[in-house]
Amino acid sequence: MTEMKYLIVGDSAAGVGCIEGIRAADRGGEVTVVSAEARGCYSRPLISYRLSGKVDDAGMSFRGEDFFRENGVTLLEGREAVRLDPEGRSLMLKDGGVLPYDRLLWAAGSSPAVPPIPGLERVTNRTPFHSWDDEERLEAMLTPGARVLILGGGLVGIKCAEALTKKDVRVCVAEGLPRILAAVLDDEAAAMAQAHMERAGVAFRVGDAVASFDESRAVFRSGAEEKFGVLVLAAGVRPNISVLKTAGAACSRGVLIDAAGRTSLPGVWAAGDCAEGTDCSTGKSAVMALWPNARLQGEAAGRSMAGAEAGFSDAIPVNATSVLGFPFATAGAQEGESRVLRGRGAYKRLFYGGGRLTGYIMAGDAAKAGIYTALIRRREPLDGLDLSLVCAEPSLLAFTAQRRDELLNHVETEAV
Amino acid sequence: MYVNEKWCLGCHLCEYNCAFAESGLSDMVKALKGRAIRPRIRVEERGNVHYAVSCRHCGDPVCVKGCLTGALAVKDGAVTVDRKRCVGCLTCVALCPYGAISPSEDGPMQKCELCLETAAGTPACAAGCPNGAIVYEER
Repeated sequence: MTEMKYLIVGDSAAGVGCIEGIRAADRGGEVTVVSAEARGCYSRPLISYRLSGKVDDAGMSFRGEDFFRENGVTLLEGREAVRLDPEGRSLMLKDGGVLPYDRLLWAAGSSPAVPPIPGLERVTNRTPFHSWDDEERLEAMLTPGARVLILGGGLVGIKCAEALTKKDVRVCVAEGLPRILAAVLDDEAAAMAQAHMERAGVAFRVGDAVASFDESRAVFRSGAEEKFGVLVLAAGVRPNISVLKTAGAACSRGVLIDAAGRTSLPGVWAAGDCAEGTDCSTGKSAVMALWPNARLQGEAAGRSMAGAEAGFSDAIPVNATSVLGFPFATAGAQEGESRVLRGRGAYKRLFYGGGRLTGYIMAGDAAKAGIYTALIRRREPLDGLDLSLVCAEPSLLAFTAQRRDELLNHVETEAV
Repeated sequence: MYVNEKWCLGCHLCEYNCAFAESGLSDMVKALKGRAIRPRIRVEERGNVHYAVSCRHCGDPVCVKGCLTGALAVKDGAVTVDRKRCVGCLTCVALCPYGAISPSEDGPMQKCELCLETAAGTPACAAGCPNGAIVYEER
């Protein structure tokens, strides 16, 4: 039998997950990875930690240097894929190279969105905050006492602001929506996070979109103005799907995948920020552009590509981080009935419906949040649980003694 | 490591033995007296129900898969955390189905590492459990 030729586009979380998935089922196949960046495989969410000085260059890598060699992978860096021929099973690169494949994973991630705001092109000192290159560019722009305006109060903008508090600069976050972290937190949790950051010196302009820019000034819809020396664009991302779309793959916001990561094109799988699959907490199709999700989708795709049984049918969005010491964690859907608990500087909101926990927000305290995440992911029926205990704190007390015995007194093989 | 709830007395000795083992000191009083301990095993209790919970060292650990930095890894069957690589992002806290990972006093995550670095043979919690509710064995 001739060996299978696997081709992976992208060497971040989904690409690495795919390599691990393939190798779990096929030690012999030929695996090639193409990456547009030339930084080795590094952890994108760590760029804010590099900016703050918490992580050095060596710490950016999330699998050791030997990862590709140990897995028998050929890595082609700094090479961009521009056209896919799904019938001929080959991928064309910008530099003219052509790579044949039997099975391909598209894990090309996303690109920072450029908001259509008049005058943005006149701002010379601006950068997105999406890649290691962006982080270095931003660092080079910083001068003592500089005013940095961050456009976008989502996770990327907020983590960037956190890192900049460690620098000798003044930071302002501008968010057009009525609250920061709008995709992750509700009004009350977002207000807590914002107040915490304000105490650490971060300024905010929330619920007021930028109407126009000139070189060093933003004019808001309200008429207010904000001067800046450096502008960081953190206004969301767009899935990198144009190559697949042109090749005929079914796409919505991202390229559509099933639980095993298959796209509508034969021989082509997709995973990570560019892919759109089913969020099991809502049953709806969604791009869940989050690191753990990319890693798990990539692995399921890799196994499937290698012919092993695979599926990642319990995908849900999970977000957790700490900003300037303020922890929060969220998962699943934020819709339907909910219960709120407050106390000791913490805020918690649990969403439920159809006899199951469907989502949660924990802010100010994220301890043991994973117990809630597992209840959502495993679609654990609440009728076997004590709901008031579930709400009081995430613990295994809410389960029956029999279920706890299964959890604690048996071999745990599969946590996902 | 397995926990049999039926045998748990709720004495919390496992928590003290865990914190003591982690301290690396030879005198338990010096190590623990007057301190708020942060054990890697926790007794959950309510009324007559009590049992200890620590890392299950899952065969397919979601915390390791979700880790942003590669700090969490599987070594010889144990899920370990490299404190130097951990940035405290809490992703693992939001993923662990047992609530068995928590921030340490100085930031990086802490979890049961089966006393691989601190004690020989049996983890301190299991070795010190007076009623055999926590056992360390191959199943």
